[in-house]
Amino acid sequence: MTSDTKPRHPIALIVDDEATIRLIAAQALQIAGFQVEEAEDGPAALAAVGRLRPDVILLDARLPGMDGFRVCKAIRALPGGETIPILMVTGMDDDKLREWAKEVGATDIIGKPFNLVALSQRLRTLIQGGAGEERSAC
Amino acid sequence: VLDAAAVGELRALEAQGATGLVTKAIDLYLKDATRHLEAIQTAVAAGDAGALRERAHSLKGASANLGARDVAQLCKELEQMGASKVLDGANAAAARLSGAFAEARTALLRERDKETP
Repeated sequence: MTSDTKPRHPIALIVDDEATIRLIAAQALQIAGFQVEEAEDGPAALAAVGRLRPDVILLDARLPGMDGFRVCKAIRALPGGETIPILMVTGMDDDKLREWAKEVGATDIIGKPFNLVALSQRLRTLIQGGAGEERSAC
Repeated sequence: VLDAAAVGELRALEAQGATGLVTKAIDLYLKDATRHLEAIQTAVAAGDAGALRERAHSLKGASANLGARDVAQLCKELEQMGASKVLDGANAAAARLSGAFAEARTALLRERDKETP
């Protein structure tokens, strides 16, 4: 009556070529109540987006081959992909990369190393905050 | 050598149910890091700026998340050298990276072995 409360866990897709990062982030997000899926490169990420329709995506900017910026742009061009919140992982001290991330449609930006508790809170905020809204990095 | 807070975060996750996370993460990191380190040495020797940037970036992220600050810092320097395609000093930085990694490895193994089954 008041709001649509779905019992399912939100799906978070982690896209990173580093297995250690995927492991750590996946464990933190699972404990925080997410269903976690992983992809180690751009093509795998695009396939996962089409298959799973994740609620939120954690996307590393630097991926071998198809980099995170191209992946972000490609996700935005997929049916339904324009509304999925994307948290791009990039160097916070690099203004150019941050700007570029926004240009290709990233919803928000986070730097490595990320605090694991803060990461899950950030993803929840993005899910609740309305997809497609561009947020300023902080 | 090691930022204790990083491993502390992993231990906190273990306490919440992520069984064996510290051991798994450290073992995985050391295996991948050894591979990246070799690739960095090869890239520096070959003057391959692109490969240097890519490998140094990969090693930097995981190192930072496990608290290996010196390794992460040296990777950042090497990544920047790769990105700017100016590899003067890359040999020396790669040698320092090897030393920093050896120290981080020892510290991480010590952390891993602290874990109670």
